[in-house]
Amino acid sequence: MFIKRLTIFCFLLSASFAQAEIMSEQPQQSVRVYINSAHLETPSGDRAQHYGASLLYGAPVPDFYGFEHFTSFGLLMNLNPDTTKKSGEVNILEHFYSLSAYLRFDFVKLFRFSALVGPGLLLARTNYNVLNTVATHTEISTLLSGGLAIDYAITEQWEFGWLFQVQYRLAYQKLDWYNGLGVSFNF
Amino acid sequence: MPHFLSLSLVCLLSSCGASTIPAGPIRARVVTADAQGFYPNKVVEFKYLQDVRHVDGVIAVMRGQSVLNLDAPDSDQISGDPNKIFVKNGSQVHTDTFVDQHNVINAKNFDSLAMLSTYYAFEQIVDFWITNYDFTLQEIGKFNIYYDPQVQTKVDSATATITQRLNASYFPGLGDLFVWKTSRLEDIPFKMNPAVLGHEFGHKIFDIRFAHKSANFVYGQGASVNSLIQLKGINEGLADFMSWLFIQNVTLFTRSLDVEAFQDRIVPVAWTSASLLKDPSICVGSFYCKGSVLNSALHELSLAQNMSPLKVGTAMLQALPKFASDWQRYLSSDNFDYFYLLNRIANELAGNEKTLACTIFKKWFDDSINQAGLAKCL
Repeated sequence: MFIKRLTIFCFLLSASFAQAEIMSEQPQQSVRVYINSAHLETPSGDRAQHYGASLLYGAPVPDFYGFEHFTSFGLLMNLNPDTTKKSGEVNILEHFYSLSAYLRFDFVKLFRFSALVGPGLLLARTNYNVLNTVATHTEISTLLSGGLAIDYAITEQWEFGWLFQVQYRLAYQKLDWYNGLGVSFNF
Repeated sequence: MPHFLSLSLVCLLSSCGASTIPAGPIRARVVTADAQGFYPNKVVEFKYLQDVRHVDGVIAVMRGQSVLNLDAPDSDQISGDPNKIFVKNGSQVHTDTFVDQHNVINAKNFDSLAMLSTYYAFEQIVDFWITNYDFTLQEIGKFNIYYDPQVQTKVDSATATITQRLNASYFPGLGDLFVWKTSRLEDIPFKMNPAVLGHEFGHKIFDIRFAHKSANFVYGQGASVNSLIQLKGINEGLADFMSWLFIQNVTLFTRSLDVEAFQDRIVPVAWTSASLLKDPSICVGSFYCKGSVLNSALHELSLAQNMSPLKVGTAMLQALPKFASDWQRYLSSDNFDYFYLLNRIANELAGNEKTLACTIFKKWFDDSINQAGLAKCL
């Protein structure tokens, strides 16, 4: 519900900036911050929803091995703590923090459409509280991530956008997806 | 950046994060309980589980993402045919675990712990019935454990999918067990409570020995409304008694949900069949309340001098096929009641044991119909 309301608010906000600034077709160094909703695949095949944040840093790559369509590369960080109480006496919270390196392809037509793909690492921290017995387990594993972003220029430096990501946890063969809204600042 | 990329590459190549399940007996940490209470993270050895990842083994397999069709006609519901009962019959589950330095498997998240704990509880329960009451794996059969299933129904032209919580259940005819999604209101999740799972498996035992695994036997032969209500109560009372036979603790239900409906099932209950008939509001559980009278009677008989839970449990199991013939004969009667079963159980005992059983049964079932039905029970 929160995400739906936020989506409506943000679209209204972006509509108010309909006098669009010219969006640069040239890749720029940028920092993006998104509020995300993570839909994590559970052992039963259902999805657990965690809220969190995504942070992206991007830098231009003018000539990436001569393949001009990869316009930038960067780092993508997802922070998704688990805040869902499971039951009164058996609670296991599985917090996910991931860091991926990505290559990004951009296409600009009023909006900036970006596709990004890359490998990453997942730090999963599990907090156990089972009948008052407390323990913690931390594990690093690998993932592959891909995403689609649509951004709209509010000013020359500020953009507003939507980011959809999928992440595949290789070790556990689970596919998660993330849906985020946020802003980016171009240097 | 180069360090991060190279670390990622090494991780990708070595599948870092994945644990290899050790060879030999499967040992894992689960939530379990015995007569003394619950144990967190107890290291147990599985006997029947073969595939930890998919929670599959000799006695059962776990299935996720199943959707029951609430709109299926009664004839389909009792058919025992999964294609008629489910919109979606579910798929394999995939637990997330890691192996610690003691070669013990640990769950990485709530669902994985719940799946392993549920399976272990059913292993213990199946083993209990095989060891003590001569059941065989063939007789019980491999069953499905549906994990967090959903229910689908159509409201006008819209399809609604409902997530049921606060329950576990047995599906007669299908012969499978359902562990519904955990609610925050549950203290110890139902799916990790062996007493609750023992109760549900009690329905399976009843289904095997009374109904010969056929839901049609109960629901498809034109039973009167009264007969069905009495049989439901008997089924619930016996399931509670079978749970107690297994775990030997009458209060474990309330560790999951400490509500009046469960408190009313702690035996011995404070009412008899006559006082319940006179004032049904003394208990909140509908037909469960009379079932708890049956459980109280069997419980008292089990703890009586020179008696034992094993003796009473054996008499009950031997009585069930004979009670089934009573059901077939009298199911359309408006006076069908517990005395048919009580007489059959008493008849499985001899001499003083039978006299004691009759005395206890008459004490608990003091309403006029059951008193008349038990008149020849000496």
